[in-house]
Parts: sequence; structure tokens; C-alpha cells
Amino acid sequence: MNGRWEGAVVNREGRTRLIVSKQQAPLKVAKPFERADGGLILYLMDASPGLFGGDTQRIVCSVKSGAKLYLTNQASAKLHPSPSLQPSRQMQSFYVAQDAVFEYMPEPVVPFAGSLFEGETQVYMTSGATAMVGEILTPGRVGKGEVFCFERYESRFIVYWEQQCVVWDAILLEPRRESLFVSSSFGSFTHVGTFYALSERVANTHVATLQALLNQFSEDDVYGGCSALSKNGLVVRILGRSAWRVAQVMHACHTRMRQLLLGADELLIRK
Amino acid sequence: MKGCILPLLQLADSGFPTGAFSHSFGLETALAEKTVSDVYSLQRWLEDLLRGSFATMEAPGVYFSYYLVTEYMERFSDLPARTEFEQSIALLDYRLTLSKLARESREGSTKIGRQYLRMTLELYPHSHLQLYDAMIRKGICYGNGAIVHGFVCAYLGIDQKLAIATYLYSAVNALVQNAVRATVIGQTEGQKTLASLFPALEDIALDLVKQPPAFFHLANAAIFHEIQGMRHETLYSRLFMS
Repeated sequence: MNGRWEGAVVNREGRTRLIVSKQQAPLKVAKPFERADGGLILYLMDASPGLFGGDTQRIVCSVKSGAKLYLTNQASAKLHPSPSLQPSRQMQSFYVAQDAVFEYMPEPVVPFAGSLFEGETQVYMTSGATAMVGEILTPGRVGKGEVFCFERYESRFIVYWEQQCVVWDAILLEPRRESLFVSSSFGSFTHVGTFYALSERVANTHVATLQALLNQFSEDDVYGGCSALSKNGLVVRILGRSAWRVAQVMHACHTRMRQLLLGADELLIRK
Repeated sequence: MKGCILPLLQLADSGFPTGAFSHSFGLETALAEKTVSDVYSLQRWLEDLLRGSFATMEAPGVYFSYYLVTEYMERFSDLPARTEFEQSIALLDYRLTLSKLARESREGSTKIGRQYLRMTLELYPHSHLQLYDAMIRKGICYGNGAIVHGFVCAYLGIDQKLAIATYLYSAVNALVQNAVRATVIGQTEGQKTLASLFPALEDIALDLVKQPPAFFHLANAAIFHEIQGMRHETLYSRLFMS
């Protein structure tokens, strides 16, 4: 199955409008919700049980000049076993224009036992653009006892500012090949979250603010750090023992960056 | 001199002035937070870093750099071939650099890479490293020690597996020496720790040469170490720059 969604949002007199939305099953998008600040909230929906070996999901979105889009999905991405040894794939490309604000906070990814996955997210930033992107990876269906039973999880996150690559974050996890995997990669933790704030206005003070925020959360169940990117942005990496806890810390970081970069309040998304 | 071991001993020597002694790459955080407190936890920390990051980033960096220099060395006068070579090196350089999300680790790696390049160029002015140096000066590349090591080992005719193993040895040795300086272990324990990692270094180098990864297939898994690298920025007292 090759689900695909291609969309574009524009700014029309202070209100963001969805002007392009091409979808191919099983991927589709729900009716957009308008925010009080004129921005748009869009939910992607996958009308299938998840990604199976050989499946490809493609998401392309263009946030035009001055538009504000919060993109998320309805439920976690379930990566099913790949007995054929063909990985499932997810390719995402986002184009953020001048004065546009793009936020993408999808639900956690859940790699089932025996799954193989390859994902790549590319974000193309233009001068004056702002983007905040978060992702959470779980070790599997924890409630079912599936913890790091997947075969292979490979994910790349790449950011370009005006054609120049400024982030190239590649994670490869093959827990079944490495008997001491958990300690070697995650310490004693099981879940990982990554949050990027991309803007030319990100300064060292923002990094310091999030570092202080993360220290408040530093308890036994969460361990995080924040650092400046090579250019125009910062990254937060969080390890935890549950998806909700990592999401909670990430939401706090996201909310603080919304305040600092956009002068905007916390955005609570109903699901 | 081709294939002689002595130049390699000099390059891998802990006294070779690359500035690596100033960087702990998160180890100082691990010491401050008591994740590493004795010889056993240090050994485990180093092993985890080796397998989770060095094996999949730095080691392939040496492998691909060595491969590219060997492949193109005779054709540097041919402009299209040289351009192709430079584009590949630039891709390798920025991936090795930008994949370090902790700022201090990224900047430390660049500093060490540039210093290693400067010293090696002094010793081997005909090693083609001028090409890499020019790319750094133009801002096309950041500078990375694994790439420099691959370059110079290919030029010196050193065996590729040995080139990879010695680069890993230097990187790990620098961290062991820093642990000794931080007084978490003594000199003897430091040497024992280093020796205990030799099988892992050998395995990584051998696996790479026997089963090379897809072109420029680099990846990181040492997330815990990476966060320690980030948290170093706010440590109350610091001996090291990263």
C-alpha cells in the first residue's frame, strides 16, 4: 500500500487556508480546524492498520508565506512485522516559506516485533520561516511485552536552510543484533523523543532556557538535553520509560518555544 | 616508506597534538552524574560509545575517506574526477559533523579534525590533504579527523583495516587518558581498560572491511552518550571543553 498526502496552505488575509490536498488511500486528511489566531490544525489519518513490509507512505506539505500550520496525526504509526524482509517506508518533505510557521507533532511510532522500517524527513527552510517538529519512538508494544523486538529501525531527519544542509540526524537501531542494545544506546531508558525548533531567531538564551526546563524534569524516569544546531535552531533529545512522559516533556519544550519565538500561548490539541 | 608501521604509530600516539586531550565527548557529564564511577562502568561506557557511535560513524568515515582517496588518487589532475571526489568528501564531512547534535561535541570534533589536518600536512605535504584543507578554507567542509586519517593512511599505503582500528584506538585512548586525568581511574587501570577494548576495535574494523556499508551509510545509536554531551554545557565545574 502506498498512501500519499500532498498539501499546501496559504495565508489569506491573516487566515490560513488549505488550497491543495491530494490524497491517496490509505492516507487522508480530516477536515481542517481553524485556530483563534488564524492558523490551521490538520489531522492526517491512516485508514489502515499501519505500515506493513513493502508499504510506502509519502507526506509532502508546503507552508506558503505567512501561513501557520499545525500538522499532526490521529493515532500512533504502527510498524508491522516484515516477514518478506522488505522494510516499510515513510518519506516526509516539508517546505516552509518566509514568515510561515510550521508545527508537526505526530503521535509516537510503535515498531512491532519483527518490523523493519526506513524513514526520512526533510525540512526545507526559507529565511524568515519557523518550524517546530517533534517525534517520539517507542520500543514496541510495551503492554504486550514487546520491548526492542523489532529488527531494524532507521530514521533520518534532515534540515536545509536555503539549500544548505544544517542538520543530518541519522539513527539506526538494530536491537536484535546487539545483545546489550538497551544499555548501549538508551542507558536504562526505552523511549526516545526528539524536538527541533528551527528559526533564525533561535539564540543561545533559548537553549539555556530549555536546558533549565529539562533540569526541572530530570527525575529517574526522564533524561534530556538541549543544544544549539550548527545554524538557526536547537534540538532537544529526551529519553524516558513511557511515551506519555516523553510527550509531556516535549510538550513543555514546545510550549516554551512557542512563547519565546512566536509570542504564542500553549496549544492544546484535542484527540 | 610505503606500508611502514612507524608513521602510523606516530599518528596514533596519544602525544600527537590534535587537542583531543581537551575533549571528553560527554564522559565528564557521565562522571559528574555518577554514571561512570569506576573502571567497570568506564569500560562499559566506552564499549557502548564504540558500538553505538564510533562503529557506525567514525569508522565508516575512515573507511570511505580511505576508499575515495585510493580510488581517485591517480586521477586528481582530471577535473571532472576531482570534482566528483570533492563532492563525495564534502558529503562525508558534513554528515560526520552535523550528525553530532551536541554542540560541544560537534565543535570539538571539528577542532580536532582541523588540528590533525594541520599537523599531518606538515609531516606529509604531498599526501593530497591540501585538497581537503582547501575545501575547509572555502567553507565547503568543516574538518573531520576520520577523513584526515583515511586520507593519510591511503597515501602511506597502510592496510585499510589497520587504518580503521588505529583511528578507533586513538579516539578511545584519548578518552581513557582523560578519565585518568579526571582521577576516576589510575594509570594501570587505564592501560588495562584500553587493552580490554582491543577485541571490540578489531571486530569493528574487520566487519567494516569484510562487509562494507552502503555508500555513506552512517548512523548513530548512542543516544544516551549524545545527551550526556549536551548536558556538559551546563555542568557546574568542567575540566574539558566537551
